[in-house]
Amino acid sequence: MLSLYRGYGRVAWVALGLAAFLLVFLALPILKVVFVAFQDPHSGALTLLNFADFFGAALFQASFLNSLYVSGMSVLLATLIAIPLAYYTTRFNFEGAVLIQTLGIIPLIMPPFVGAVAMVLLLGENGSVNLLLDEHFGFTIPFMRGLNGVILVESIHYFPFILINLSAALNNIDRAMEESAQNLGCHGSRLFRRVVFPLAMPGYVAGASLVFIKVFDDIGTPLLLNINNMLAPQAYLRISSIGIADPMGYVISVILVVFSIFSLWVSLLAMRGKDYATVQKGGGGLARRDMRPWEKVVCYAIIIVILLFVLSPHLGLTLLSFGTIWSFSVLPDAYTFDHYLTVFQSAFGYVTNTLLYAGIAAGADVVIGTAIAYIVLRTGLAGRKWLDYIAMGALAVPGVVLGIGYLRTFHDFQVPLVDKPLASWWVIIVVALTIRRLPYALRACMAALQQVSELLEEAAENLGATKARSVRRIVVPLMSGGILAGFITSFATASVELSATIMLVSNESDAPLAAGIYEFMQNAAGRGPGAALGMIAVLIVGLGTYLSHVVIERGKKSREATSIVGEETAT
Amino acid sequence: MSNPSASVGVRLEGVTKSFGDTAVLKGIDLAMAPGTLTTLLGPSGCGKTTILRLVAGLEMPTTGRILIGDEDVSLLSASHRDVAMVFQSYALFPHMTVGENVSYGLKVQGVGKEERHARAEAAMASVGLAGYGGRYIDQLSGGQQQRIAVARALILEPKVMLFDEPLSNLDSKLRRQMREDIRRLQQDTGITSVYVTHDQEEALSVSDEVVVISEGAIAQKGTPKHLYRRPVSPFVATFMGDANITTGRVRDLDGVMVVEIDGLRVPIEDAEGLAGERQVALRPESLNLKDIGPGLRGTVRSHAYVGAATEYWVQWGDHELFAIMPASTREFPVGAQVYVDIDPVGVAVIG
Ligand SMILES: Nc1ncnc2c1ncn2[C@@H]1O[C@H](COP(=O)(O)OP(=O)(O)O)[C@@H](O)[C@H]1O
Ligand SMILES: [Mg+2]
Repeated sequence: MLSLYRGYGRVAWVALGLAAFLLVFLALPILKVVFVAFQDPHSGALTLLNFADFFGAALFQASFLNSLYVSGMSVLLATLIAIPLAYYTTRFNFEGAVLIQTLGIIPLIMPPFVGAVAMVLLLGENGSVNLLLDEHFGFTIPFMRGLNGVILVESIHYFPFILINLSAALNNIDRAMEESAQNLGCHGSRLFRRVVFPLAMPGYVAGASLVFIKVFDDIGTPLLLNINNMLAPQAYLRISSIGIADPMGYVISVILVVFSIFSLWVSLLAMRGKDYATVQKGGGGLARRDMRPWEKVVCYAIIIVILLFVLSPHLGLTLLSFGTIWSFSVLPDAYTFDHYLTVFQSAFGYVTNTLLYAGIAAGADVVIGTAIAYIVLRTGLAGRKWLDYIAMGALAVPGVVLGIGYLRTFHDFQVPLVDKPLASWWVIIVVALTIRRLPYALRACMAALQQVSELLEEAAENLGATKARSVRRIVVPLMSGGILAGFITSFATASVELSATIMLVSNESDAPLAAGIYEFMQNAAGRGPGAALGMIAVLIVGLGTYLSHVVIERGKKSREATSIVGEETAT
Repeated sequence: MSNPSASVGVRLEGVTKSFGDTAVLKGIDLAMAPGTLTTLLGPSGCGKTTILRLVAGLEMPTTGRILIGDEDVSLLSASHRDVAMVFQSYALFPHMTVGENVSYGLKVQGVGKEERHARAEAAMASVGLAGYGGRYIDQLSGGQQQRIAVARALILEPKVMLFDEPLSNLDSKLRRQMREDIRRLQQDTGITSVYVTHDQEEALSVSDEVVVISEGAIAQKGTPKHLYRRPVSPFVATFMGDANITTGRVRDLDGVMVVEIDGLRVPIEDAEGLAGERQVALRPESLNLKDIGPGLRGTVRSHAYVGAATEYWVQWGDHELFAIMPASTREFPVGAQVYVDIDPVGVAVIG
């Protein structure tokens, strides 16, 4: 025991503190939610009655089926968008590859709910496109009618997840494997069915299950499109309109968590077998060929159509933010800076709140992430892996569920001095953001720490530095690129998080950007300023995405240069 | 630089080390005299690096004690030991300049900037890299990095220096020069040093004492010459250089000790108390092929030219003897009947 804990004295306290934080703000609220779902609201006894009530109510049955339908169709549509793009970049020598890569990034910098209203104005029943179609051809297309709108918005936003996974899987297929199949007389579509498809499947399944659950958990997009009869929106509406005693919100939460865990499990399962596809690094990739002229035409036509759809939220939002009145017309009547002025004069609090919340949350994430990474990878503390597991468990917790859990767990905990329940103090929003973004920051910190040879730390100690000093002066500076990338990503995504925060905003002056956009977009008069706020959000996320890309690329370069300080060889 | 008379010794007493259930070191007793350079020699995985890490305090012994001078440091953390290590992969800090690397230990000690600078310049000069302080590590060649790693360790004027296969990442030409440089630095400073290698030539050329390690235990220790002449086991004999292992009878022949191998008598020195049936190691360089006796009778099985020498495999009874002859001597074709004569300097009685 002595040797196990020697030198870990302070580290052990830090580990205990982290464990306590994760238990109180992650495990406890979720357990509470699950418990309440199985509890009789009046007697407090354990019961399955809430679930019986849930599945007996027509509204919830419909919501459940709608959520399944929308998630499934979104995966399908996202797949249909991703397949040609992945196919063109991996099978052909195609000069438009950069265009496709850009296509894969543009959607990610706009949260789906931000662009939803703008999409209605462009593609809705009385939107620009249908007005033009009706005028010139006498028909309209119900892009945005009912659930279609949710499916379109979500699949345009999430198809990059499938595209990235699918392209990576296709690129990893060894050319030799394809050639040997051809050698054995396997060609064309048969080759695709027998060789390419099975090998690309794990990557695809991983991406698809991720998309499924993101859509299943999303509450902002349906709410902004006025679709209430889906599961996640119902959870929010029950709690916010009926109150935290109503058991239905908790039952829905349990269902959301079960589906989350299930799809995470599916994607883990799919990716576990992925190694067999990567026979050799570098030499991989399918044989590419040049496109024939007519193929090029088809290809560009497809890409341009997709590009137009992908850009439509951005285009619509831009028009909306600069337009005066835009209703029953192809384009806004006139253009103005007024919405931005309104935002800067009376709604800038949303922006500063967001910068504050996301800043603190991202900062906390990388500090916690670095600490957990260090404890897990570099110490022998007993049970250290559990810190990692619990932190990563946040992946399986939808934002609404975390929000509901916080409300229920902390509503009667009075914060000393502030004289408010913890559940309605702005700090709880920061805590929620921290927990939600922690898994991503943690992975970034783990990867960064793995790049720093343990020998460097030992060398510093050998030269007289204490453990703490060598961590501060050697390990952390060398991790800084990865930590910074983790910070920026956490910051950018936290600044547009809606699902957990919408439950926790208890007064207007504490609301962050996403909640502000949501508020504005509720009524027609607020759309202009809402869009202007949306543009600011896009700017923050876009800038963040770009910066983290730059940081990571720079890190890669300097790592190549210093790779000579490799791990000690076995001799 | 420190004064050789201030040197202290290093002692390991009954040191064992296990990782989980794997016993990596099985009881090491070692005493290294002040100011000497001791080499740990042994095959990959035998526990050499582990011994160094124990002395440096980067691992704690499972049982046993480690003493530096008269001080028991067994429980002292790495940062409190006056021991500097040159890591096999150098472990230079990539985010610092060469100068910052070299002076890092002084900075930790709180030495002022000017003194740090001056001493770093001196340390870099002592390894032949004066003026390199402003560069970054990735702007140095492998050999230069190696020197900087030595300078970084040396600057603290430690009581003990540890070298973990310091030359293993260098090409053979540079290796020869670097090992001379390290030996010279060690002798100039008189810092008690432990040097790890798996290359016997390197071990024999730099050390005051060689410790041969096998599977976590000491197989034998002694001066290079002693190990070469009196290996205690076939393992040590073969590790100290190529050897043909056979048996012979050691006896006193009118006051001269000889070893009799298949009737051939070879005089040997320092063989008191060895009389009887013994294993014998025959160095290939000391086997001479001749047309006439005396010698071990055999048949040439094969031969190969290797530049300055010719290597022969000779069938002798049910043994195969490996011999190396200068290229200048006459050649024996495959199938030739030969007598293999033995030069006494190349005979080591094992035991
Ligand atoms: N931290 C460790 N955990 C488990 N096994 C180890 C550890 N360090 C070394 N070993 C094992 O101890 C043995 C000796 O290692 P080492 O001292 O590095 O050998 P050498 O330096 O002689 O090549 C090896 O079998 C190695 O795998
Ligand atoms: Mg080693």
